[in-house]
Amino acid sequence: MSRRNSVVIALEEAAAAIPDGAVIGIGGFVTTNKPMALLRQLMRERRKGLTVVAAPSGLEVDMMIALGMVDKLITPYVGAEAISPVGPFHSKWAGRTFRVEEVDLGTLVTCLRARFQGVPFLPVMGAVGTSLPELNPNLKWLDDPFGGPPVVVAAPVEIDVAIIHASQADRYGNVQHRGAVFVDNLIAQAANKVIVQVEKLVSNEEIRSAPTETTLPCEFVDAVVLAPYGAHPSASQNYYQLDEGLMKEYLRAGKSFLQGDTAPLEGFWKKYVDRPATHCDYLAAVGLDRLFGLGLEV
Amino acid sequence: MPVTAQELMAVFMSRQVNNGDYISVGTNLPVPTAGVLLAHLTHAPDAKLNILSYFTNLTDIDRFDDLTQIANPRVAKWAEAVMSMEAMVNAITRMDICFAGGIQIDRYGNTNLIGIGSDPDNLKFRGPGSVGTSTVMALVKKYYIFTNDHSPRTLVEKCDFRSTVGWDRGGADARVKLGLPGGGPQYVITPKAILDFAETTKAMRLKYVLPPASVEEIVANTGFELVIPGKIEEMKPPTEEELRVLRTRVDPKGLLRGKA
Repeated sequence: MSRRNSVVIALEEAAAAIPDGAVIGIGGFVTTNKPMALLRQLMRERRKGLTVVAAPSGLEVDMMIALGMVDKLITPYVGAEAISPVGPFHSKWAGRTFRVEEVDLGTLVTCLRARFQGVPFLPVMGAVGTSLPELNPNLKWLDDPFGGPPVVVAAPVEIDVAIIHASQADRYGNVQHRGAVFVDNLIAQAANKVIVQVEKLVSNEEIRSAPTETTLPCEFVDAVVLAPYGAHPSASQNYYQLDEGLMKEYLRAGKSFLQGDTAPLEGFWKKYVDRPATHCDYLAAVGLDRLFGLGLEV
Repeated sequence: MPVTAQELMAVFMSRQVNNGDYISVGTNLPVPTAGVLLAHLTHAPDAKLNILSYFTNLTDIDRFDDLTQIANPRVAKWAEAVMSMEAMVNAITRMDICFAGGIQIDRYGNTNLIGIGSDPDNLKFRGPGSVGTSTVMALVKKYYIFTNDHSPRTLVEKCDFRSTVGWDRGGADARVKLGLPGGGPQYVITPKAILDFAETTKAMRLKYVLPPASVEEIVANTGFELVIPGKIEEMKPPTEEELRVLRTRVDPKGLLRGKA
């Protein structure tokens, strides 16, 4: 009898599928469900020339900008809400070290839909009358063939590799968020390859016991990586809240860097990115006390 | 303790919410979040509150955890339904109320979260980005603009960039001309004033002065010529009940009282 193949791979192997210059799609939402373990591996290897297509972003995109990894950015937001309304490097270096193709969430959703629907463009009302068409070559004005006012249309955005964090998956790549999916389903559908890191690997029986919880069926998933606490320092639905302290540590170091004192940020990279050779080494560097203290009920 | 400007802002926003409204609470807008929760815990128990793509039941909560961090999975414990962002985008035309922030807000209620400067590749200040505002404000039935900074820096003649369109270059038919289905901005809420838009020109107009501010102070701190009506009414002060719920259940940590 033939056997179904597992799609579970090591983190390092997953990262190796993302070359310099790739277009990557990042899932999650602001400070929740960011695929940090995979992104940290890319940071460790200093991937270059990336085009980043991302759901509203937290500080992970800012870190990638700080490390000089990003050439082009397509995301509706970079910041950490009240912890930091903007990302320090995103705010200082936009247009200087990387290009921005301006979108809001509705525009991003439209670009992704156009991609997987196989249409040359779709109208997006949110861009009408805003600066988005001037600030994004993928947006153009078009006369309404039905006689209404002109509309803005969005061209498809193609993603080479989508990187997503979710609660659990089985060995065949059936993924369950067990919570909000944010834009992850669209990013996955618009991508040529999809890698999902999960807090927990579960049996196919467990997935089948709650098939309505499956948010990304295995058709949409090429690889699964086991990464417990893999969203840290962002929050992970059902598992832990965000690590505000570590985010503030990064923000302090980043601000010092931009004021001319490079040492704190170099120390931050050394401690959290370069010295830990593996994801487990990273978790050890953060410390179990700290990680276990991030329960959802505080 | 005297009522703070931020508490007045929250109370005003609360009074804009009708029972049964579908409302989405946006990221990094603690004062509007407080306003919506205050409405929900007082006169709008049937409002449908969408927070971080969770539809939540917050009517019986003792107190709200954190007004500052909406993108926080702790709100999941109040969820009675979860929607994808795609489903949320699809449902914006149903949405009754939303709030928009802005690093610049102009005379006609256009807002900017993109950046300050003339050259997009060499901005004086790069903002956080449009988040969901462009599409939501194009389509939502009505919305409110909110800022914590009533100054000529924020309230400008013309935005350097626009992340949302309010009343474009003015006129009651401005949005119809652009083909935008949503009802447009209704009020601008600042720590000094509640402002609305004149019926025919849609130019921003002073509605209420929030104490301790004065008309002179508001005019001096607005970067364009505000419409000042002949008679300015006073905003009805918070009721005892509004203040009690706001301070004990919505904002027990005192964020709006400058404590957190």
